[in-house]
Formats: sequence, structure tokens, C-alpha cells
Amino acid sequence: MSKRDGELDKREIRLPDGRRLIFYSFPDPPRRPEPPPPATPVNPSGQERH
Amino acid sequence: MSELRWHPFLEQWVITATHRQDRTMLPPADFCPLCPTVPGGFPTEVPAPSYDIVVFENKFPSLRADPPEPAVAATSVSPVQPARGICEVVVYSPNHQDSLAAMPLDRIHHLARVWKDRYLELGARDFVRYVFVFENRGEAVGVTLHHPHGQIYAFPFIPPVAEKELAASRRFHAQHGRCLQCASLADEIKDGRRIVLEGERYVAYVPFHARWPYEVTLAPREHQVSMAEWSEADMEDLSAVLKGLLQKYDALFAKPFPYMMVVHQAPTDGEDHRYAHLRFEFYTPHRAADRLKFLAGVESGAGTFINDKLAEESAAELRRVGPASVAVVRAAEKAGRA
Repeated sequence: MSKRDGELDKREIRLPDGRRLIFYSFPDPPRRPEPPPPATPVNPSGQERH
Repeated sequence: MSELRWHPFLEQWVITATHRQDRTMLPPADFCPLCPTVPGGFPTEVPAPSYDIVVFENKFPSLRADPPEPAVAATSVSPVQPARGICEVVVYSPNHQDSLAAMPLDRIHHLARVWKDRYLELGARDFVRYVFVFENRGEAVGVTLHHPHGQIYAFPFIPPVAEKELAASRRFHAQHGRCLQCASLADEIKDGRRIVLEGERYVAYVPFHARWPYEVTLAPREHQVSMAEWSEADMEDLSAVLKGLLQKYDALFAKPFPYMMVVHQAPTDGEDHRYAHLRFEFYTPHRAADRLKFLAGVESGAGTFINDKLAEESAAELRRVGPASVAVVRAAEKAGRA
């Protein structure tokens, strides 16, 4: 699975008083799922229509 | 001093957290503790010159992973427990002036991925039974820092509002064989009068039973028990509906609209909660541009809300302002990038 598909890029540090701090980085914008292409009419004969 | 004190009449825990009296209160923008720490500048909570989204444990937590022992002794009437849990701050943006309504959709989508990650990570702790994601926006709801941020409480118990909703959902499911939220949303869509904004996967509406003047529920059309079930497409659609809704809120009175945004979802106690249904709820204190609703005697003392607004009218007002549809939200985003 690529990071774009869900794995997060995160880096954890400890602050001076011991608390956890996590940086989440997102170098690439997430993709909006493309809608499926419109159904193409099938020509059973395989010939072009004009 | 921090502990859980049992309320024997309401049968629920009260968190005592006296140290929170000292928390930072509405500092000037130059001294915002949530801004990045720039070279030579004020050292903030975030030791980096920039960031995308950052999460850290609250400096003034109500609950701690390693809490002190209670300072008072328990009795048979008044049990006491250590205030165990985790309180996190989620900073949405390095930009102090930003807001969820103004952020690019990509950033809101990233934030949803962070919420999901926190739900999974915190919920996996053995002492965490409920992960509560929320945001308080605006001084009217008690915000002490204006920088765009939300919070997460990882509770050692299921909080009472969620527990009551879960019990009702469980009973409805047992009686009718279907999810209560799915049934409620189907009713709302069929009626249509209270719908505010519809995405492909998420719907925002003023619920029939709204308690707050412009209360909105934002819920997935499909049955999802928690953020753990989110796909990328779910989060993308949620981002667009969420942004559109918040733009409508800000357009309603032509000023930043205060709200409490809370997420109700399945507990993380290891039990089967298939009857639960994830949803965002927005509690909105403004009943007019210059008038606030307060939780006064009847609400606080009797537990019965009085709503000065009809849900149908609130929804119509919200439909009239801001983006007309999710498509408009997305188109505006594309135009802004061009």
C-alpha cells in the first residue's frame, strides 16, 4: 500500500516535559477518486459506426 | 489535582482537574502556543518552523496516562478513581488565521486521516474505552486559543451521552433489526425539509429532534460504526460536506460562527458495537446574530432542552446561505487553484 493510499507519514518526538508530539506530513495531496468512465456502446460487429 | 469523582445520583463520573485553571487564556496572536516556533521568536508548544498537522498531549490535561492517586478518600456513596486517560490537541494548520471552513479540501481530508489514525492508535490502548474527537470554536463556547485546533479525549469509560445513545441504538436494533441512525437518516432524506447539504457519501441535516438553534448532524449514508471504516473516498466526501456546512454557518450571520463539533462512534472497549453509527454533531449556541442560547435552569437542572428555533426553519435558513451544493464547494476550490 502506498502512503497515498492510507499509510501516514508521521514522526514522533518528546517535548522537554515528556509529552508526546506527533508531526503528520502530507507531501502529496490525496486524490479524489475518479468517477468510472461512461459506458461505451459496444458494436458487436467490431466495425466503426458512422 | 486531578481525579474522577462519582456522581451517585446521575451515576456518572465527574473529572476534577484544578490545574486547568492555570491554562493559557486567549493570548495575543504573537504569543500563540499552537503556532510554529520561528527562529528567534517565542518558543511555542510546537518546536518546528512549520508543520502540516501536529498532535500533542495537552499541557493541561483532564486525563493522564499515568495519573496521580486521588487526593481524597472514597466512600461507599462517593467512589473516586485516578483520572486515567489521554488528552490530545490536534492542530489543523500552521496558519493562525485559518479555519476549517477556509482550509483547502486536501487539508481537511488530511485531517480526517489524522482523526482516523488517532482513533485507531488511542483506541488500541487497553485502558481506553472511548475515543472522543471534538472541536470547540469561538469564545461563546469557551475557546481559550483561537488557533485552528481540535481535541481528543481518550476516556477510560464510555461517556454518559454516548452510553445513552448506544443503549438506545442497541434497543432499536434488537426490536427492529436495523440501525437507529440509518433509520433516522432515511426518514430525514425522505422528508427532505431538514436537509442542509448532501454529498455522495455524507449528508448534513438539522435533525428532527434538534436541541440547539442550528444543530446539525453530519452522517454517512452507509452504515459505518467508526472512523476505522473510512475509505479515502469517504474522507474526501466528508471533507467537502464538512467544509460546505461550515461555510454556511459562517455565512449565516456574516461572521465566524461558534460551534461545538463532536464525533459519536463505536467505543473501543473490545465489545461488538455493530449497532453504533458514526456521526458528527454540531451544537450551535447562536439563536440569532446577537443572541446566545444558554444552558440555563431547565436545560441544566431538568435535562430538558428548549429550542427557540424550528428545525425545519433552521435548515431552510442554512440552505439559503453559503455554497448551494457540494459541487459548488468543489468548483470554488478548483477555481481558487487555477
